[in-house]
Amino acid sequence: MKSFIKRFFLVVMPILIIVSFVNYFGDAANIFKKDYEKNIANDILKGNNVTNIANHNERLLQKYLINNASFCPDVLMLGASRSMLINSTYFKGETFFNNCVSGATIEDLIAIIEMYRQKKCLPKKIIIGVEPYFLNSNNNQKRWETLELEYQTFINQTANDSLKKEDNLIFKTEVFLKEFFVFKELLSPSYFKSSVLELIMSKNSDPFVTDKRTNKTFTKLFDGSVNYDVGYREASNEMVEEKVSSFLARDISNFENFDKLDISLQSKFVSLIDYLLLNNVKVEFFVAPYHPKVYEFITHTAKYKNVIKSETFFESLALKKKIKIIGSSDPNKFKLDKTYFYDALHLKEKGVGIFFNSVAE
Amino acid sequence: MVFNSVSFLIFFTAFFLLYWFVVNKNLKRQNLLLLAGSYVFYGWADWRFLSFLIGVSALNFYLGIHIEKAKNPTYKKVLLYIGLLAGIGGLAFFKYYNFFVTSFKDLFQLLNVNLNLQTLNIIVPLGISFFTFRTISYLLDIDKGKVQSTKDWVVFFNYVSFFPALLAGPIDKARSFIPQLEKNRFFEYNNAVDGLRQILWGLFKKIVIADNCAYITNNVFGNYESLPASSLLLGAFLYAIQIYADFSGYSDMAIGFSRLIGFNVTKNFDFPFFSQNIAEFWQKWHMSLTSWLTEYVFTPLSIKFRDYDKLGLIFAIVINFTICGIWHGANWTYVLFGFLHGCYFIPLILKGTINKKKKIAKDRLLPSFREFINVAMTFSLVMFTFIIFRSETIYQAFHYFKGLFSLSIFTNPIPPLSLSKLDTLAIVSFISIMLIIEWLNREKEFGLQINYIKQPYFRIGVYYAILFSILFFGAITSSEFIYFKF
Repeated sequence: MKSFIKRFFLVVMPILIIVSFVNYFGDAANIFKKDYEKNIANDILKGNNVTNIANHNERLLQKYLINNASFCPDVLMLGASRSMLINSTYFKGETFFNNCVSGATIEDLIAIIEMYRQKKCLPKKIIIGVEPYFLNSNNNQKRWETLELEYQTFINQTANDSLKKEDNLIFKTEVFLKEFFVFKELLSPSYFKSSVLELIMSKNSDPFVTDKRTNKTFTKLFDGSVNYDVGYREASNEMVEEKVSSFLARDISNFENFDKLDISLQSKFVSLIDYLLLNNVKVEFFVAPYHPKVYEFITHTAKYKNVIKSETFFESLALKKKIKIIGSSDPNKFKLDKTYFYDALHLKEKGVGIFFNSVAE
Repeated sequence: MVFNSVSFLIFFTAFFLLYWFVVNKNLKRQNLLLLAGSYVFYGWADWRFLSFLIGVSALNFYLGIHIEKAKNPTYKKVLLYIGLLAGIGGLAFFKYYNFFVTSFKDLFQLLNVNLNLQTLNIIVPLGISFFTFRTISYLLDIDKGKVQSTKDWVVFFNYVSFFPALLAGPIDKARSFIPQLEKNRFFEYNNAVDGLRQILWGLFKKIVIADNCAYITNNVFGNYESLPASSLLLGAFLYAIQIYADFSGYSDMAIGFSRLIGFNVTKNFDFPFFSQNIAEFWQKWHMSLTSWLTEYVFTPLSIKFRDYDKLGLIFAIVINFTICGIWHGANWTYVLFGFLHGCYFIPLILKGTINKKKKIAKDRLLPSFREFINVAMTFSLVMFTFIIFRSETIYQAFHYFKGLFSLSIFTNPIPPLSLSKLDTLAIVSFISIMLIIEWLNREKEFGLQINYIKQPYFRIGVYYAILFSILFFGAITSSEFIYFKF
């Protein structure tokens, strides 16, 4: 038995050492490079566009952007990737910043607003790109946990007792452990693949500042919004259609098991809106449309019925709180055909313009 | 907790150390630990049905003892029928209730009668088809006197819920498995090393072959209406490879983990894609299920129909395989899948070659042309039924076939957009490597049984090559094992 275990480890150890080495030095998602997000944030805050950004922690980037900014924006855009293209050109004469993060959840919105609150820097207006899965307790989104401390601070100060978590040693230890467990990626097989490629290709993955808005890789603009890369922007209609078909061939991410509009999430969202209104922040909702095929599919698929119901929830909340709603998930309402979309979910700039040029006017 | 997850790695490491270092000197404690481990494993997957699993075990344990004890044959039969009814009833309720309700409703609607039957929102307990078949065979064997009931509840509960085989088999019969639980187990170095090799081979098949094929087949079956016949043919071919790599990969891992803790579990696959006819295919595909059905369904049926000669045999086989199809799930596609396989046997029965066994390429490296054609024909027949198996409805399967048999078969297949040339080349290469390795080792227990290679460094080189291919080419987003849903 002992000889079995000894031999087993002799065979396995070199693998573990190689995998850890490659994952640490390849570091495809820059999780072991501590200043990666900080440097991007500094360049953006100097008024630059930054491109060649590899995988990174978007929440951490927002944290640096907010905490290191020397200004307080008048208008904030919050939401998920579908609202990331909304930029300052639509808000002339006002300081605009886009703090959207991919797969944003209500927890993300709360945490970001908390960071502005702590800076005593709440904006005059916040446009929230509302997403149906905000109300899906099974949306499987965990990325917001990077900002858990900020989220929990807001909840502890504003929400009702049931949501509060004591700001004690246990909670702080939890947050510390989460940061520490990033090191489990050292042994991650899935991370290994990307890290090997990173090492082999040894391409320069360091972000750099650029004057251009459109580049080979996606560009984070000086106002926090993004511009997709050339390849994505110039995809033919056929390629977009194929993206849409393959998107529809699988379960739609974030909408899996969307069996109800979660009461607790509704209540969190309403509390957030009440807090903003109470602090004289003007709130608007942006409902981004889906690609026509996707909308058609969602409306005719029983398991996605709550996607449409959630829009009704946001509409009635807006009506009740006198909040302006921009857009609709139904592309037909604005005569947006398939040429207005980059893929199944994301509207092109010409589509965004339809909604936000009128806002600017 | 699936075998190819970090949580299982941690669980099994802790279990292995406790099993061989802490409770190894006491069989009772070792069995108790095994049972606790099995329940943790099952509860981790779905804790809601843990009590159901325990209840099923308790009922069958009690029935087993009393069937054996019963002097009165009627009482004995009553107890047996209670057990069978509970087993088949549970299976019917959890897996087939909604299927029966909707099928009845549809049938009566054809006659313009609206039945007010409601479907239920039922969650199927994981592994129910597997542990139910284990308990049924136990009761039937006791009734027939093939096995004695065990009086040790820990042993029996372990037989029902043995974690390496709990969720997707192999389906061991009590007479081969319970004796292993009743005797002291000793760590055997060679058996454990073989177990590790088998786990490695299973992981390779699951993560490198099946999960990568799944990426393409999901795309093809999801968009079959807009794809040319060449793509559909490729999708069908890859799905046959996927389901084999997925299920045999799982079985290899289950057998490998069992070996590491001193058990020899029934072999489930014997390189079925090298079969020369459909009868041979079923002797080599999901062998534990085939063996179960042969013993408890086909044999009694063929005895019943023996007066009808070949026609009786055809009836028995078609019914047997239709049940085999239904076992997979509550869908007409599975029924048709099983029925067609039953029908595939008819020419063999009529020709009288059903039991004819001829080893492929015996003492040769390559098969003869005739053998090759036989293998290709058998594979094609099986591949076509897997289209039905994979389809969500008969309608979808029909349209898939309609698309498949068209002139666009001569066009280039369209790969999914995001699949790079390197990925495509890697998938094709790894499928070839798997088939070549399995072909070379077709006389062995499993594909990677390479203990005949004497140079240890060469063996270690093979392990490293496989490990790195898993790490580098393994699908990042692993999909669930296909047979978990059965």
